[in-house]
Amino acid sequence: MIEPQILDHPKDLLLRKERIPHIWCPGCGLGSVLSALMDALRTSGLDLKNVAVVSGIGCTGRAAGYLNLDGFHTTHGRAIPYATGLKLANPDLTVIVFSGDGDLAAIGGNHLIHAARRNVDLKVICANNFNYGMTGGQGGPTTPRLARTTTTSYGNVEKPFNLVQLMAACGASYVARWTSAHPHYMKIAMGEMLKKEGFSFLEVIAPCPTNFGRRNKLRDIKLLQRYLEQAVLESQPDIAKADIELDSPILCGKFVDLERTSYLAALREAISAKVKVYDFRGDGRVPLEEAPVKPAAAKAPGKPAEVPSERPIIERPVQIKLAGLGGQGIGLCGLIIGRAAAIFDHNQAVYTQEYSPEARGGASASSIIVASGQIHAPYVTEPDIMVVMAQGAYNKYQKDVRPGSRLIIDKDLVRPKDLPDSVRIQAIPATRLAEEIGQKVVANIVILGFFTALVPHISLTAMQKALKGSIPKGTEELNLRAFETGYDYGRGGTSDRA
Amino acid sequence: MGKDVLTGTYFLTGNEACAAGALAAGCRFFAGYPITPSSEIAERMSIRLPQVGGVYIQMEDEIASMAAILGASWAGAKSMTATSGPGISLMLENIGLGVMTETPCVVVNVMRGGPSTGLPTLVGQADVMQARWGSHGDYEIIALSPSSPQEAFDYTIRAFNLAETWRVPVILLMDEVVGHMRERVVIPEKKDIKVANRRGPSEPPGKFKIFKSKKDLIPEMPVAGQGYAVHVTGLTHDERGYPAIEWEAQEKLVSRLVQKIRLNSAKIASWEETGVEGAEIVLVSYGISTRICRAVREMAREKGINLGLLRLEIIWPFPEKRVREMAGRIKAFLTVEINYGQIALEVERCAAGKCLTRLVGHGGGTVHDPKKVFQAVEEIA
Ligand code: SF4
Repeated sequence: MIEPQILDHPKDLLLRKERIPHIWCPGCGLGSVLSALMDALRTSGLDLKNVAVVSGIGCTGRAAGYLNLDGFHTTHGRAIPYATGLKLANPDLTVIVFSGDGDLAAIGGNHLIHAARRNVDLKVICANNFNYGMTGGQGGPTTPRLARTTTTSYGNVEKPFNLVQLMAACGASYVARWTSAHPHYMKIAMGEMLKKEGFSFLEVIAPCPTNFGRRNKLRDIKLLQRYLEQAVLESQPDIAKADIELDSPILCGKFVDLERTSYLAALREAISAKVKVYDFRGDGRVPLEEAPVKPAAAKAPGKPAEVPSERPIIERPVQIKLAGLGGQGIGLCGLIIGRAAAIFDHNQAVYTQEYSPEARGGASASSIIVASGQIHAPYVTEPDIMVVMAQGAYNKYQKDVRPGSRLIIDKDLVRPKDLPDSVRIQAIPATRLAEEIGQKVVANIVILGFFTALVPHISLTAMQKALKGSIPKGTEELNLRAFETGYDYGRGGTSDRA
Repeated sequence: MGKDVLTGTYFLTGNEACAAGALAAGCRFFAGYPITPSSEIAERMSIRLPQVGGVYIQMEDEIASMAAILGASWAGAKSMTATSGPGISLMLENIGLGVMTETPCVVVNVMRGGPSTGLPTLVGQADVMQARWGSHGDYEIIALSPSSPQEAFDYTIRAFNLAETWRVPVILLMDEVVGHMRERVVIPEKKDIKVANRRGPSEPPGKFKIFKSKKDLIPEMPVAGQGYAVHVTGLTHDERGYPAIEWEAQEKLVSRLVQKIRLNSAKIASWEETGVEGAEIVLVSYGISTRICRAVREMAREKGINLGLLRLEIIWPFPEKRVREMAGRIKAFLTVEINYGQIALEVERCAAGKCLTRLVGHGGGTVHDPKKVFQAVEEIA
């Protein structure tokens, strides 16, 4: 007598057997879709170690958990962005999104259209059963008009999404539709998708007899029979005729199969031309064999700073405010002062800038506090020095000019008024001098040179070094000349109360 | 391959320093969505990541950004996103998924004034409680709060190291002022930067259970493509990662998620004490408000008032034990934060009536005026 031998079914290798039986109802279409995917995977020639399946929430979403592959069962609607992260961080992976119509087209609709638009390399299988099966059969964005669900008791009034049209319009590389009654064609389509670069999308009309069928008088196997009858198979289906009504034909076939530059290819192309070192695989992966290291602050080593001999000692923090109009480069002046003090004078400097919407155009200001010791509060509240380059800026910030402070202005552009006597005004025709050098745009650097000559808190060498490092290449000569002009003007003595 | 650590001395904004810290920590994937006042982090990452072999992608929203960094982490990359109030509200759904699936990643929240759209360009510190329990369900998380651009660099590295070590999304709670202000930032040599990496599987695929934890309550983490056929779900799951919808599984899993942080809080919590010994009054603060408190301490010193400062480097887990100890021997805690009382409640809870607890808070849009904080000090001195 021959002992009966129990062999593994070839598909078993792809299933987590310990997770079977699955949760799906008798007559549900999802099993056929999963089965077709397993067939397609088995014959794809892919190294299955590198295949990941991502799903969202719902009956279909459970599929990721039945396959013996890397599987990710994510939040409702978010399978596609999750899959995007997987794919981009490891382009060797073949990433399949397997989810339902509610998940992908309602709550995840935004992700769906953007992934198709980017043409990101994902294989999206959408099992469309026209309702929310898992939560008891509510209507959704693909529910046909007049169909009954638990939330459309009088018949659905909304026009449903035509998913294949939507995906084609968004730029998907591959778009097809079959029903779960067509396992062979499903498998072919899935096989093509697995080879395809870019975003590919397969809609499978799958019966949900338990909820959708029951409420639309198509119980048990009747719903599948109906889909089989309704299906129209065409080799070149016309996507304009792909709407689905309760009783309409369901047009099936391949709607789009184009060579479109995928997201990854576009990224490689765009970046490799400009950044020679580009390599997606690179060192993005975490080395896995290393033992964890105790978390510790990566404190800066605090090299003994080489203190420049001319470093100004600033006992009490000095507050500086610079104001001008957009385009005058007043922010750059602040940056240079900050860099000079913080990097080259080895003092402390805090730079802040106005970030209010009205700072776009119009008068704006930036502020620096410099000190030899620590600076705590970051904002300039009582400026010791104000530099103002335009009347508009003067009008706006005049309130900040305090008795006893120093006010540095462009002589031709600012007419100070209503100031306490104790304010020390120092003026320079910065814009005029800049024009004489050749370019009005360096007026800010002229005034910076002037500032350096007058103010003892930042050393000349530090300022020169910071200036060099802060201006575009090719403009060094002009900027240095502007700086010297302002500096010389300041050294030549300037009249208070210009 | 370009350099990931640009050693040198710079004058950087907190946001720029944060991006530099991320790269130094090994971050190679960034997904984000523009939002003030955090956008400079995304901008900087979009330039720098390609130079070091990483990927930057701008997603369609913050929900997608958060989902993408979780996916990238499971593909083996250290990943990050950066946002502000309205964006963090959208990310919370998937931060919960990150907690449940123990996915290392870093989420930067450059706090602005809220609720809702609030003050896009101005500072707030009111997302502190949200950082802790913003997503639904019960969990513990780690959140750090830098108070200068240098710390933005250092703490971003710490954030990645903590995320990799404890397998939890780590939140870097910056604020608008720290994000936008510039200061000197020293980027050390690459060899001087300590980088922690997640623990990979110690056994080959087969028997290996991907959510079976070690003694320290942290499971080893295989990633996609390694042959482990990982199963990762946001549902309550067993050690194999399979859904287990029953209270026993919930108890086992969620208690571990909570305890791996709580029981280790002595290792994780981090704070700085200044002048606390012998002080009658101790200021409690974090982020930008710390700096205001330092200014207040100087004012107090001039007036001969002995004022201590307890500054939270890591906000969550909160240094409960230390606050309890201190409460027994001081007169008062004064919490200084830009909100109407969030950490102040923690301080009050831990002080448990053993000393006075007061809040100096406001609704946001600016930092505290040191004079006003000092007034509050004088009132209870
Ligand atoms: S409820 Fe519907 S979709 Fe869900 S398993 Fe049952 S038949 Fe399938």
